[in-house]
Formats: sequence, C-alpha cells, structure tokens
Amino acid sequence: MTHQHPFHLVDQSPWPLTAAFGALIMTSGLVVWFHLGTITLFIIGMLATTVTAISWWRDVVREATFQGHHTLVVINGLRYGMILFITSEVCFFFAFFWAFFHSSLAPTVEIGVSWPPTGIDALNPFLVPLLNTAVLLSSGATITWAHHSIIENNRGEAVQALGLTVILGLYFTALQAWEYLDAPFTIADSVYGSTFFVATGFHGLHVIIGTTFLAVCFFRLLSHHFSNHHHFGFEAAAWYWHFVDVVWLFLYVCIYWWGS
Amino acid sequence: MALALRTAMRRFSTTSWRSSAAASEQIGLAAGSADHGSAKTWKIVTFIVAGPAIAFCMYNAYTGEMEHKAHHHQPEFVPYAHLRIRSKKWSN
Repeated sequence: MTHQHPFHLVDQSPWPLTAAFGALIMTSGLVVWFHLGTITLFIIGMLATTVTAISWWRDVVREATFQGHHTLVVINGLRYGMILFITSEVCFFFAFFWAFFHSSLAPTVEIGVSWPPTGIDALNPFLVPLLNTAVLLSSGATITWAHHSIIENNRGEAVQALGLTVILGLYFTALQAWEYLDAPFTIADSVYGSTFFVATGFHGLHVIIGTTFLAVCFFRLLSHHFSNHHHFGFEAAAWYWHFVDVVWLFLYVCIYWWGS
Repeated sequence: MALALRTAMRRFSTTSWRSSAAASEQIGLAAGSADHGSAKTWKIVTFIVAGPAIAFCMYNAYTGEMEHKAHHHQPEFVPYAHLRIRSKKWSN
C-alpha cells in the first residue's frame, strides 16, 4: 500500500475485541474461582487472552519487519506508548506498596502491635532474597551488554547476552517458586501474608511476562529481525525488564529487609 | 487561512521529518563511535562483577538455608486469631 505520509493506518483486526472479551472472561473467571470453586471460566479467559496476545503481536511483527510500516514517526509513537504503559504499571505497584505501608507503619492491636505480626517468622533477607537481587541486577547488566552488541552489529555476543538474560529471568522465577513453597507463612496469615504475597506475587507475574517478552526478542534476534539501528521491540523489552528490576529493588528494601 | 495553515503544517512536518532523521543519524553515528567498546564494558561487568556476585550469593544462600534447617525447631503452635484465616469455603 503506497502512501505519501509516514504514518501507519492499521488494517482492520479482530484482536482488540477478542482482547477485551478475553480479559473480561479471565477476570470474571477469577472471581468465580475464588467464590464458587470452579476454574473453567478462568482457563477459557486465559486461553482467549493468550491467543489474542500471540496473534496481535505476531501481526505487529509482520507489519513492521516484513511490510516496513514502522517508520521513525511510528516508532516514536510506540516509544510514547511503552513509556505510558510502564507508567501505568508503576501506579499499579504504588497501590500495593501503599497497602503494605498502611499496615506495617502502624501495626494494629489485632496483630500484636508489631511488624512482623506476632507469630510470623519472616524470611531472612540475606539468604535467597539477596541471591534474587544479585540475579536481577546481573540481568540488567547482561541486557545492556546485549543492547550495545546489537548496536555494534555483534550478533554472536548479542545472542549470548540476551540468552543469559533470559536464563537469569528463569532462575529468578525458579528461586521465588522455591521460596513460596518453603515459606513458613501463607497468604492467609494476617495482613502480613496478604501484602507479602500480593506484592511479590504480582511482581513474579511481571517477571514471567518480561522473561517471555525477552525470549520472543531472543528468537527474533536469531531470525535476523533486528538491525543495528532498528530494534524497538528489543528496546521495549529492555525498558520493561529494567522496570521489573527496579520494582524488585523496592520490594527487597521495603518488604523483605525493612519489614523483617 | 486554512491554506496557509496546511502549507505551514506541510513545511513543519517535512522539516521535522528531515531533521529528526538527520538527528537520529547523528545519534547513530555518535553512538557507533563514542560507544564502540561499550558492549565490551558491559561484557566485563557481566563476567567480572555479576558472575562472582551471583556465585557468592548462591553459596551464601545455600549454606544459610542448610544451617537454618539444621538448628531451627518448629515453634510451639499458638492458635492466633490473626493467622490461618479461612474465609472461603473451598479451603481446608
């Protein structure tokens, strides 16, 4: 399609609609699971949302890499979009940190006027949580190495560095899963459990999402989708990954360390 | 006035398009020359700083957890009201 302007007027697509329905069915399914016990609706919603995500982003890659629609102007718009999205995620996590500080700065008499509450055996922040911090900070270094390698057209090192980043992301998830299973307290153990597992749980979900994004970039890198000057998909993944790292640093300092 | 506005917009968009393209080319060139070796820097940080840090933390966490399991005894069970909250029918 030839046009005398640098903008991308997208073709009609069913994915925005299926995304909306998928998200509605997924969240409604979550409510049904919590209150009525059946998980079916949630699974259907999650499948619908996942298929939509794969289809929609597959279409974006096709439009950009294979059809050449992503001019500098279009990429600029995508930059704004990613920045705004990450900002909204900052607001999301801000709420859970507010909840944590609301309960921990002035512990009520019902939990023993102490934080951690009476009877709670908090995790030692200098064992696995410290390892998790080292893992995520290191992944920030490896992804920066990958980015510079892409810019310098060093394909071999870019693959190595991005691969290491994905591995570190998976290692973090495995460590957190072990911590969750091994923890002496559960989500049902007073507001401590609630704030701990909701905040770290949503963070873990974002790590999984970020790792998936990075893995997609890894396979796109192998498939020669990126050039040394055009690799916005990778940049967006890197921004998201740094955000996930920063959230962890706040979690570590406030909840794991100060809150123990 | 509408014609003047359209002409002005067209001139603005082509100028900004050209200058942004030139600017990004400059940035690209600058990035290429000034940051050459920057990938090397982060490769060094990865293997010289991050690697040993992770290795140390792995060792520290492993020995710490083993020690914890060895001497930690299960505390006396106290049925505190604020713990083990069960507000949904599907839990145990």
